[in-house]
Amino acid sequence: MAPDIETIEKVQGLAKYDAGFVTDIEMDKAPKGLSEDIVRFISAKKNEPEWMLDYRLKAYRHWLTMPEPDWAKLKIKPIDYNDSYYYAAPKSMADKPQSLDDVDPKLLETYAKLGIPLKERALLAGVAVDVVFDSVSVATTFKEKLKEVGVIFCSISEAIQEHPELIKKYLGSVVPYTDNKHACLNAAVFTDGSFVYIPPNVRCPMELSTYFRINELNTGQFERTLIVADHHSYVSYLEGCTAPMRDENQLHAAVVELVALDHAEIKYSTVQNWYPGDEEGRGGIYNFVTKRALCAGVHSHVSWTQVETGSAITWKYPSCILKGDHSVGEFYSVAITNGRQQADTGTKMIHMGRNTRSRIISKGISAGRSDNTYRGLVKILAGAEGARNFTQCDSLLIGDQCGAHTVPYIESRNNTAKLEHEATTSKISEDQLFYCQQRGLSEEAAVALIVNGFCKDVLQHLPMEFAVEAQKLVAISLEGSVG
Amino acid sequence: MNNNVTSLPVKSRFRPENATHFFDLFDHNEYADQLRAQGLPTNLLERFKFSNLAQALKKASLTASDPQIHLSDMRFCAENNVVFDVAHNEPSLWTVARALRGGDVHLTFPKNTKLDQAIYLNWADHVGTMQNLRVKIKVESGCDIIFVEKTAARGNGWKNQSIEIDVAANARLIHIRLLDDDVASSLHTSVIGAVLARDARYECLTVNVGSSWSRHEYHMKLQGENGFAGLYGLNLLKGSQFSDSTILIEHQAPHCQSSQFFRNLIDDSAQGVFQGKIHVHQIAQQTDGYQLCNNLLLSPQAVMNVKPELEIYADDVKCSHGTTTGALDETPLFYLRSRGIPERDARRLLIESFVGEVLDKINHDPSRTEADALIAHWLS
Repeated sequence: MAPDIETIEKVQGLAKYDAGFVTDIEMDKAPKGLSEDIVRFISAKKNEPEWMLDYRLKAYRHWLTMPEPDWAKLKIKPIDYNDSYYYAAPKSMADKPQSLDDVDPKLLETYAKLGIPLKERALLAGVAVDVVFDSVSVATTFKEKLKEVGVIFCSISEAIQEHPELIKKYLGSVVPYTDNKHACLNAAVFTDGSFVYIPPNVRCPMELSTYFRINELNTGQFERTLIVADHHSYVSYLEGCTAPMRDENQLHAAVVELVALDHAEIKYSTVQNWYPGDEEGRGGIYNFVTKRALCAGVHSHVSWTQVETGSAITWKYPSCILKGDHSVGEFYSVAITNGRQQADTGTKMIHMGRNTRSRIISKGISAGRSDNTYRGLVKILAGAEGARNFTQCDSLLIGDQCGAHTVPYIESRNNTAKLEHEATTSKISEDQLFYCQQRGLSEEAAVALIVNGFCKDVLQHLPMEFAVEAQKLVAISLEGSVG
Repeated sequence: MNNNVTSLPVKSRFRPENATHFFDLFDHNEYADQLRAQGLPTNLLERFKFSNLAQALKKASLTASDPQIHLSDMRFCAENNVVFDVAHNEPSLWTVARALRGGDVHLTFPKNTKLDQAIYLNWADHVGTMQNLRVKIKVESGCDIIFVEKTAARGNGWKNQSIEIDVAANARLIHIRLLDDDVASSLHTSVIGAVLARDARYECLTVNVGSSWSRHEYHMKLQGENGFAGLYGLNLLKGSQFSDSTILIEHQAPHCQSSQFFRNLIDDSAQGVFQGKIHVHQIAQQTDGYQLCNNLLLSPQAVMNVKPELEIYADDVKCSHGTTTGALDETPLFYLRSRGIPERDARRLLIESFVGEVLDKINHDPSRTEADALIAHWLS
């Protein structure tokens, strides 16, 4: 049977990745490759103090000795670290725009196209945004307003200049550069990222957000985010990311560190939509991210929510170290893989303090020829009297060419701790599908609806603006996976 | 007759870290070369992450000897060639069982054999020795067999065992293992590999109260439609005992079912490990896989490590796993005490019901009586 027009359109629709355009803009780049000189170059570009350069060099030297982590259920082509640019900044950024009005209109246009409010729309949305374009932060909105209540929200390069005492104290305190190869590389060559400090007893008046965009060809993005919530404070932070469609794999190795002191609460939400590569698995971002939170104080609370739809390969385990007594860690995740994407993602909950609680809800959806793995660790140390964990990971398979895997580790050293784990794997039930279709929904719309229902437990933890975007993303990511 | 062991020259001190003596035990076959090249499994391997065999062996100072076994019914001893293959790319106990000299027991049950009585394999004394036993059981179509293994050795020793099982179409094998070796100083390692044909059933219940260090691996391959593999286990550990149950169930055909139900009761500073994996191949549509592991920690020093895994490549499947770890629930305890039952008795009642649910999975009265006795002794 010859394919009809609808089929052809559907196939073309597969390549639909709205954020896949390239912005043509003059860039200032470091020479290709990785060496001590490049590390010095980045540090010099950023006009960094001596101690920062030392830190980077130490990390770089250690990186050379580290093995590639190979325990994940991922097939990764060997990465040629010398075939990539480690620094790329828009030329127009050379003499630092003082306000949004000075920012290159091309950049603003790029973000407008992506639906990121930087100017007037920002006021309506009521979200403060830091936008990172390749290697540099191009703008941070609402800085002044945040300053009034004492919140520091700026790019990390700025923080190194202006708040060295905070950076010295906290940078690398949760994820040391010796942690793993990708985090180590990040420590050596990170170019920008966001820094947030919430002073004691302050409830951050608006949502904070960072938007990451990789634009240049052959450029790796290495951003670093550090959020410190002082005692009795609260902050909700959102992170989004996109990249153009390219045939080469691009490396994204980020580090996110969260520190929550006594009674502080941090809510960190991510919608990850890096370019996933095409149907044949060409191109796409390698998303190797180390995210970790330290619940240092008593009654501190960290909550990770992630929606992972993009990237050719995702290697990401947002974790919580529950050190303070009565601290709480939460992890809500939706990971969707389609085409030839591979995802190995999950969390680690390390219970150290008494009466610490953690909750893990993970929903994995695999379609096409993709592989989706949940990998998690719940560890109860001997001192974690009365610790409590609940884990639920469900997988949904769409099509018979994909794989769904669950690899949880549960280690208990304290008998007063209560641990529960449950996991299920299933497919979309014919009954549900039939019911929806019989009410006039197309098969694709029905699948999107059912999958959204499947993810509901997680999506409801996202801030409102993100939840809407995430729901749409779920539908788009699954396009072409049925029929 | 191959159940009696080929004579094995008794070797001098068996110390695995002392390579020369260890190598003296090698058989002359491909596995020996492999073991020489790969060595013993260490906890650097993912599959041995929680079990440190090398350290357990360090304390053992053993000579090698023939397995001291007794088989209750010799009628079915016949050479057979059950072949259970596993990948040999990393060190495994499977290779150890093949590579070292030991005894062989081959059982073949001809078509439609139905026995009133179970067949018993008693593996008795092992004092001061390392014993290596290879069992092959071929169950032809239409059979219904109960096979019971028992160990109750005192003193130190290391029992290493491989059991190859082939269950043909429409046959059923019930395999019961009552393990009660010396808790102070004996090691027990075993690998059970079973291949199941169409409509075949294999059920295995392991009741382990013995051995200072043990590891039991189960590897099932469901190769015909509508096969069923049921693995049930009970580990009762105290003192400084260590026990690891590692399971891999491969669904290689559609419409099969598998069920795992393991419970660990851990007292003092004992350590338990459960690693279970259901692997559903792409062809195995309509698989129903189930796994449950409940663990009771009875003392503050007790340690439990659990890793329940799913690896699924077929979409039309129902797979689930659940695991819980914690202390004895205070609510039912309070309820019983409020009814006038002393705390000690109440605890005992709750523990008995906790272990009883696993024993209920297999219906074989003589074994049940023995298992109950082992448990009662453990509780006293």
